[in-house]
Amino acid sequence: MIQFVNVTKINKKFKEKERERKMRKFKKWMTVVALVLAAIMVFVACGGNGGTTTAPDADTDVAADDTTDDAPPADEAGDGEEPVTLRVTWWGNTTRDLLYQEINELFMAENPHVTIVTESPGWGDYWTAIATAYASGTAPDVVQFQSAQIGEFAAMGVMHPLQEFIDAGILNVDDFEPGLLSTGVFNDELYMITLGVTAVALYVNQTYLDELGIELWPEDADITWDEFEAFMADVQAELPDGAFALQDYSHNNDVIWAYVRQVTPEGVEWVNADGEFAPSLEAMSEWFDKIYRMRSEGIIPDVALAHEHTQMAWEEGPFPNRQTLFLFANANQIGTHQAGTEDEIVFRRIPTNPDFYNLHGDFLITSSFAISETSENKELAAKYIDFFVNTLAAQQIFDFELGIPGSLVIQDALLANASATDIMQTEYVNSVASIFMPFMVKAPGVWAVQDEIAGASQQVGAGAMTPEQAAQMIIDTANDLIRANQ
Amino acid sequence: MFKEVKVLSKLLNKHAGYVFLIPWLLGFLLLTLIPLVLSFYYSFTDFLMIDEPHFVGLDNYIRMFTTDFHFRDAVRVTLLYVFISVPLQIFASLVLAFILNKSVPGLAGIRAAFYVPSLLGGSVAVAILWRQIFGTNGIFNVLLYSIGLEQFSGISWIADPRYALGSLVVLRVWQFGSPMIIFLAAIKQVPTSYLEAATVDGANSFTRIVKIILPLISPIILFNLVMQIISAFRVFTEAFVISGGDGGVMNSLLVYTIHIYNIGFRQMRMGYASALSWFLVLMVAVFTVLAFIMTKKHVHYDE
Repeated sequence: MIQFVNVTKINKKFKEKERERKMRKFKKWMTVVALVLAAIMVFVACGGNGGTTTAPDADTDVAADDTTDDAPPADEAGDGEEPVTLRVTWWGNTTRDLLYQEINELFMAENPHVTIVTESPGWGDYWTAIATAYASGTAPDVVQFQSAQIGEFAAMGVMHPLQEFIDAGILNVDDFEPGLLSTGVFNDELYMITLGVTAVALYVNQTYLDELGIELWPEDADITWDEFEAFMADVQAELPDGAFALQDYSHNNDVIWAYVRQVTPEGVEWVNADGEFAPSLEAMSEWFDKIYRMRSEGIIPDVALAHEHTQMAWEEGPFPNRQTLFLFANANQIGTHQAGTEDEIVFRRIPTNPDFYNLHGDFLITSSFAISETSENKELAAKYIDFFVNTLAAQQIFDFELGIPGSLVIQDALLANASATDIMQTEYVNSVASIFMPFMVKAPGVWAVQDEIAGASQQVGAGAMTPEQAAQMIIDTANDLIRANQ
Repeated sequence: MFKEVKVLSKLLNKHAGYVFLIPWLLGFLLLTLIPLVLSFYYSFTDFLMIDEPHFVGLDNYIRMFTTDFHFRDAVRVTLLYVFISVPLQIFASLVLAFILNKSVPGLAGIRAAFYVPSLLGGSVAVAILWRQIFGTNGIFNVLLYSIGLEQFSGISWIADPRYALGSLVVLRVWQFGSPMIIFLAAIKQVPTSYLEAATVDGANSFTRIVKIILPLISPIILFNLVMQIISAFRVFTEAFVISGGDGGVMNSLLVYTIHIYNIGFRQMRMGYASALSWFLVLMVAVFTVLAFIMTKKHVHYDE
């Protein structure tokens, strides 16, 4: 009944003749095109190997400035080496990316035959991008990691051990603090060189607290999780509607990790000797219950608002804007948070836990560079890393971006002219280092468990699960995830 | 030499079509068929993206119904989404098609304007816009406040687990353009003689629509229904962007494809993710067949 194409029946015979003529013409023409196409394909197939060379003029402005006015081709400008491309990746944002770019240009100025190609997805997409790149064999030469991931990636054999470059004198770690260097070790092999060390801190809006007339506990004193909860309740009682004493921390993987370190025996952490999830049902229930209690008392925002908070830029978030007074965040983020407020921010350590194995669970978080096993320029990559961490000019640009640098020489040089917030984070990290016990490498699969814990907090917060049910679900899911990764 | 060219040209004459098809064939083989077959194989392995896959039999398919707590949420959210948004979208596009079937000055422009959301709907930009509009401090709440509905104006329509899926459904219904255009074409094909005869017999416009137009365009309704069911099952971008990538508070936006993405790319468990994907294929197939069976008696085929 319904016809979308309406063919008019006029002079069918004439039309057919016309079509035949056109078809013949078209076929002739098509043969020519097909021949050309086939020829092109043959050429492309033959020339395939030559396609990867980088254009010699793909150099940067800085490098060009160093060469003479006659501007010879870049590959002849420097050391007469073949032009080469080095791919570097990190988790970035617009301001952070500028620092890396600036350092890269310094490196390229010193090594005119090198072109650095960069990729900098945001933190949220970074690990997906890295995993995919490794799976497809297209990973960049130099890849930024966090110490927490070393277990996931080094175990898969995607990183190249670095000792050979140290032995060859390409990579110099003589000035490095041994403890910081060791954060890049997995199974007695060094895989990563730290770019900066930080630790989770409790950010406090001191100015606002003073206005409320509440006195903060002393900097060198510790308080327990229970005392912390009581303190938060006191603060909340003084706050107007719409303000919360504490920003939701249930999704903060590093606070979760610190808690796990408190509730498990030393040397165990996430996975026990039997290959099972180590924290007990009681310990996990207490984690969920505490957040649930604080949420129902209005100390922590409800799950929907808390979720919106996670999607905001730090300086636009609730903490700098006085919607929350306390916040758990990495100490190296102080500069960004401070930029969003006039109020004085101070640090306190993560609350202690006298009920289980360890009073302190604090640990150092290091961000590091590693070299991919698939890289064809491993020596150059090592040279680049050495330049990045040992050159004062580069580190002056980087300026505590990822925390305290690993080299003691650089540390001293930077601290001489450091800003107030940089000195503050350095002092904080040193205070954590004084109570720090070395962390265990996370077993593959644990990364996903942390996401599950954050998700379960929402279920508890919205009343869909009791803390005990959430704890049991986490233990079951974690065991499944750990098994799946073995 | 000349002879050879002639032979080649004769050969090409016969098979020139295939030469032109090479780009598509390559794409189909490399990007569709091979991945399809491989994913079926991987679904029976513990493939971890970087490690070698090991055969694990039906483990992955069993895991969905036993230890995977998010699987149930993902299926529930997806089915809710499909069965609320698709009928609403079909209804909205049908109603608009009837309205736009009238001859009004400037109609072509209006039609084009209505089609725009369909072009933009699945994009990241619109999803971000949606997040801005329906967030706690979004313009939607400002509107609610200004018309005196203060008690609702503090709600985050995209983060609150009670309403989040609702805003995703609204986003889909808003993309009524492409089914609308197809309906419009179908309505225009209904012979005017039928409608005129009905008018002469005293049928009003409602009766004409219900008794004549709807039965005649029923194959097109079924077509739109099936296409929209399939595309709704595959929703990803909007839910991913609006939820911030994690499926939202309490999995309220954890549509099935986000679950597959989380398992495959965040947890790197490609074997299990492949199994989940094949279950999605099965779900879509079942509901498509159901759509055909259930409408068999109501769809008019011109035979």
